[in-house]
Amino acid sequence: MATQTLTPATGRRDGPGTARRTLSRSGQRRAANSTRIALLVVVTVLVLVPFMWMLSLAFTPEDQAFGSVSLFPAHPTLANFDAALHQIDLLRALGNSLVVGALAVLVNCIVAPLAGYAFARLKFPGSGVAFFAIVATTAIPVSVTMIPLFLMTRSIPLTGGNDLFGVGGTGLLNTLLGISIPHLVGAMNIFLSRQYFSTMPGELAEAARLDGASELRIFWGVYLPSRGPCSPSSPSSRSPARGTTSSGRS
Amino acid sequence: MTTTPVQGRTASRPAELRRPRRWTRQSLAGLGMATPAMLYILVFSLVPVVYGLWLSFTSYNPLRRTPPQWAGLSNYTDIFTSGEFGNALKVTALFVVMVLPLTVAIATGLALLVNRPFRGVGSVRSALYIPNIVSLTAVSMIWLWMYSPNGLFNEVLGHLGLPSQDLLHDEHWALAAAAVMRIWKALGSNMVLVLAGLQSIPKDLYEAARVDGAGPWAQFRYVTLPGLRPIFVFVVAMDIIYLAQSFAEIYVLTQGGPLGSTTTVNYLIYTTAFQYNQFGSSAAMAFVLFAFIGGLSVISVRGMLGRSR
Repeated sequence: MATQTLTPATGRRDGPGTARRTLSRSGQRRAANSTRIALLVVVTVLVLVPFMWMLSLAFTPEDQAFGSVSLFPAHPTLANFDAALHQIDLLRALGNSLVVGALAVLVNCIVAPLAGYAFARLKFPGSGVAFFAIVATTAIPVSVTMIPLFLMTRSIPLTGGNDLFGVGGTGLLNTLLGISIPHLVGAMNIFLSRQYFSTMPGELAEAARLDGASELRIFWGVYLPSRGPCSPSSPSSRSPARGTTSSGRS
Repeated sequence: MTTTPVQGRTASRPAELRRPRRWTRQSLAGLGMATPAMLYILVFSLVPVVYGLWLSFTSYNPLRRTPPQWAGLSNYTDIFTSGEFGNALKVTALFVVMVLPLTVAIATGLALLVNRPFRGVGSVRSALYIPNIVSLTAVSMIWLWMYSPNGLFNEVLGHLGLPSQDLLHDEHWALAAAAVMRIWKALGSNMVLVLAGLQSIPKDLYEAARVDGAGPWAQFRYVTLPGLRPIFVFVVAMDIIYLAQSFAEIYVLTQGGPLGSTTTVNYLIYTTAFQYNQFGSSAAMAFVLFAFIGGLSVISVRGMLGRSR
């Protein structure tokens, strides 16, 4: 649209010149379109250059990695992949990320739509305040809850050698479940679910209710299927990455 | 926001959307369905906030077996008199100011470019989004290599006949170098949001503007920009919240150096807690950061909403 600014505003009067004018206008539009696409190609390549370079580095011998490096390595090698798989336990790390991510996605996909549906369609006294509180938690910096969560994870009762009062052991520190805890339910997912369900017509629920369906059945059988198995914006893209970043600590 | 012409939906609301007055079978079902999420948020978000607030008034070293000792306001007075924390706040604010306007501007430009469909528009949109789906730690590693003395960046400088620069070890440039990476990383998500905003602007408004004789620039100025305002408010607020918490890129690229020129508040919080084992003052810093982010978001959102009236 921005590139259209090149096109001068033409009159709105219909007359004998119309055919010629639309011809030249379509020509201009085509020119504007090609400028737009050329610009996009340049930007896209610029955005992707770091990844191309990473790809090139992956095939560059270790001793030349910090030397003069081009986008096409002079002596391509697979040694780096061998090292990643055998010297560093990459598969183990990937497995850890997978477990944390899968757990987070699973719990999110059950809990968040349920709550989102309730906040959108089955309001109860206090649901507005509760929803506001949940959305407000997205603004809490990670650093605020990091230390308390670390200490809470350490003193979860009856885990990692802890007694009934959560004292004596290491709790869930250094376990995959411990890493998953902060990612199990995303407030943002609850928000997005609610926004989605509130755009759907309420008549569907009315009809199902007349047919004698329970509220859970209405959610499960009528509203949830229309949303697809799980929202694409759910944590699937985030959790594995987060799992790897937070695994270094604790 | 509701005064903007784009949001035309003010029709009578269905019964479900009205505020409930009393308990019915439906509202009880709603309570039951929302309970798991509410419990989780209560236990793992709200309780830690209160716990952390309490910790910020104590002195606590987790390596000793003594429990946290009440220390009153001393953590807060300490962090504000040491100078280290003030510097970190300044660095954080500077980082937000460097990244935010450029990201939003470039992302808006890109969204305008990919708004109308053409062949391959899907792959261009995906390509521009890729930096966003790779973890910040991983892309920081790539940029660490790119900025290294023999990296891609210096190779390009060399081809242009310019002297090589060690940006990440230059106290005047290190933060800017990290900011460039962050702009690159944030483009995709901002673009997608602005794109959603663009596509929510009703086509009739452009039609009406054209009938009134508005040229492309006037259409952009009087239809597109006002229509994007709600999404801009959201984008700016979210960007502030994320950017003010910068940690991973600093940890990978500069480790807070040189001379503290890239020590963001979150990096300082991390080192205070896990290198110096001062959980109390680390918690205090976290709450000041919380207030700082809240203040910045409120000011920016107020400013942007205020102008629409």
